Amino acid sequence: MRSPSEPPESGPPPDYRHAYPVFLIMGGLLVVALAVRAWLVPETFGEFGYYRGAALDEAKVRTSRYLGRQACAECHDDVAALHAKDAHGSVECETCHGPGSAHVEDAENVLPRADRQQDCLVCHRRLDARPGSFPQIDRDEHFRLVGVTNAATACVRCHSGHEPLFMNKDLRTARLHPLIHACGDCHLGRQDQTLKQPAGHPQIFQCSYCHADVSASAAKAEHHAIACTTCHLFIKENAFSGRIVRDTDPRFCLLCHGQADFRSQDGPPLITWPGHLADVSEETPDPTRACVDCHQDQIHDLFEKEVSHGL
Amino acid sequence: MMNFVFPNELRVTWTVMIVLYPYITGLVAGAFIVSSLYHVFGREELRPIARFSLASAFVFLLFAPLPLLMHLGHPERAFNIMITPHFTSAMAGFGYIYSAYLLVVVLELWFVLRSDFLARARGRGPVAWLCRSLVLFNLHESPATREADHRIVKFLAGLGIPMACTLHGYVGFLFGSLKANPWWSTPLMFVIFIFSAIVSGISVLIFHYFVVFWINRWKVNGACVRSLGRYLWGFMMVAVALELLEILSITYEQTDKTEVLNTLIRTKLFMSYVVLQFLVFSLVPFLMLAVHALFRVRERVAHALIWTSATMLLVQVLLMRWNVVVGGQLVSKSMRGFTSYFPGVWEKEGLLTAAIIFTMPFLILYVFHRIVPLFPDVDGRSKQP
Repeated sequence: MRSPSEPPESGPPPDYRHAYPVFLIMGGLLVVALAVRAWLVPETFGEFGYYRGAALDEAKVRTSRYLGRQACAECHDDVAALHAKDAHGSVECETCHGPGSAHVEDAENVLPRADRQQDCLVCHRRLDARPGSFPQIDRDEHFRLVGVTNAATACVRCHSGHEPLFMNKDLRTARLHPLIHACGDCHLGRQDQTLKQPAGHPQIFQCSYCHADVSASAAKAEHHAIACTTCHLFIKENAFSGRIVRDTDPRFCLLCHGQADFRSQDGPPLITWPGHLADVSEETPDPTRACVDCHQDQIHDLFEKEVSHGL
Repeated sequence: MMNFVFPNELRVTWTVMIVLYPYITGLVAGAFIVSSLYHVFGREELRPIARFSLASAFVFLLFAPLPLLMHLGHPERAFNIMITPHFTSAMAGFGYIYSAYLLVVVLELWFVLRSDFLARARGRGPVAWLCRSLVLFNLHESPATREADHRIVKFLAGLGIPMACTLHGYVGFLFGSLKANPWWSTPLMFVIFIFSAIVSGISVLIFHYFVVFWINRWKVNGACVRSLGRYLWGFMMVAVALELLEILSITYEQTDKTEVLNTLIRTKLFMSYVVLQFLVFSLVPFLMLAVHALFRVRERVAHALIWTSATMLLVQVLLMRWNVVVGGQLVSKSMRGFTSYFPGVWEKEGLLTAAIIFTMPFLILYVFHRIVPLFPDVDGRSKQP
């Protein structure tokens, strides 16, 4: 094909007649597009704003698929009571089990159990972007720590979704405690790059600032690698304070130390419960005893101030 | 009790499909500009590839929105944005620019190929009938009609250049205007996208041209590919320089986003961005094309340098798209950390789907070539006007 920049060949002037139908078709397509648009734009579009006005009436008559925890508690009051006092107390039932309206209408429509790893990891998978104070794990690291050998082991084998930490106190009425800040709450994974005293930085409150004796004692005990807030669970309630619970329920200790077929001996020492009481007691075992009654020295010493706090 | 709600950035929502979208759009813009260098600016040495480049622009343009539609859960709703557009949604603008540009490319291709359609239309069989319908059953041809075709092609090619730049600049705008994303939000993004589009467009033409000619054992037009090689060298220098200047700008500005972006480059994107995009797939083609442009080398060596550089630059631009689209989403909205992403092979928006979408334009181009010759100088089927 000749380049258009070349001088035109000598001959008759250009004949555009064969091009007219093409441009006519293009023009026709434009007209059709405009007509189709006029036909497709809903009649009530723009009635109230930049949306279909009739959508409001349609939304009004829709019924909610999510009913809230009160609807669940009407039949499952025992589970609801357990759930309300523990660490998942602020999580709605339907967050894990999905919308409940179909189940309420017909009990045969059973809701999913939410017992897959992914159901838990959607909130608890470690993600640097999440607040460091929020409980989150790297699954492999967590399993290594507690001696779980099969990577497919479901979280619910240890943690019940309704009562994940077996709290021996109701979290809603637990003691108030000033906000606890650790460097890792904000600087997850970058603590080595943080200046000691950066200008204009919010005040840091670590446990040791107020509980120096306990912290020093804990640093020498067998549980020294465990953060204080692992056992003294702290849940932030507002910008200044939260609720703190010293969890002494044996089932809480068994989360790490309970014998199970999916656990190896490479992890923490494992026991059976309440069989362990009979193993170590010459007298009739007292089922009300807590682990810390005997194992306090492996955690940290108790001091008068802390005993009075009950923490 | 306070609930934890933000940030919960578990997954990257703009997948490899959104990487493919600016990539294919870029190939369109680049290929069209090569064809215009001949049709508008009279670069006669590009004549052997002018028709092929226009046809390439057309088929890539057909497939440019497909990754977007594959990404949507309800692709049929995509057209709603064009029916009721709004200034708060930039995507409708792409729909209009894309449609207008498609119109121009189709028209230009029609006038460029009309003589070939007429040649095939005079025969028998389904292809002849197809060609007769393509010329709207008007089989009249004369020097006067051919002259009219030349003039219209020149006008449309001239009109298409700013439209090609606008089309791909607009894709850059879709990313660059998102002020919530520190990795995207820069006015340089528009210009970088235009130049990288031209680089990828020239590269895909060189790559494909050599492959077709080697398969058919045709003689490669040395002047044409050496000219393309020089254009490629020039445009890639500007594109890579702009990409580096963007990093300089981010680093020197030292805004509150600098720390997280530096960490992004040093950790998550180190391999794909620093090592692959710049050190391997920019520096090596730059040096090879420099050798070709500045030194006298034998023709076979020159062709090897040009083809290898073009192939590497195709990968470089794909890496650039990946690093922009995926890299920008790896940063948490809290600016505190990162997430991870790598596409699966079999999933709806996975690597297999991406490979199929990217292969389809080449298949269509082959069918196209079966109907009208894309390399009229060498395959002897064309009726030259």
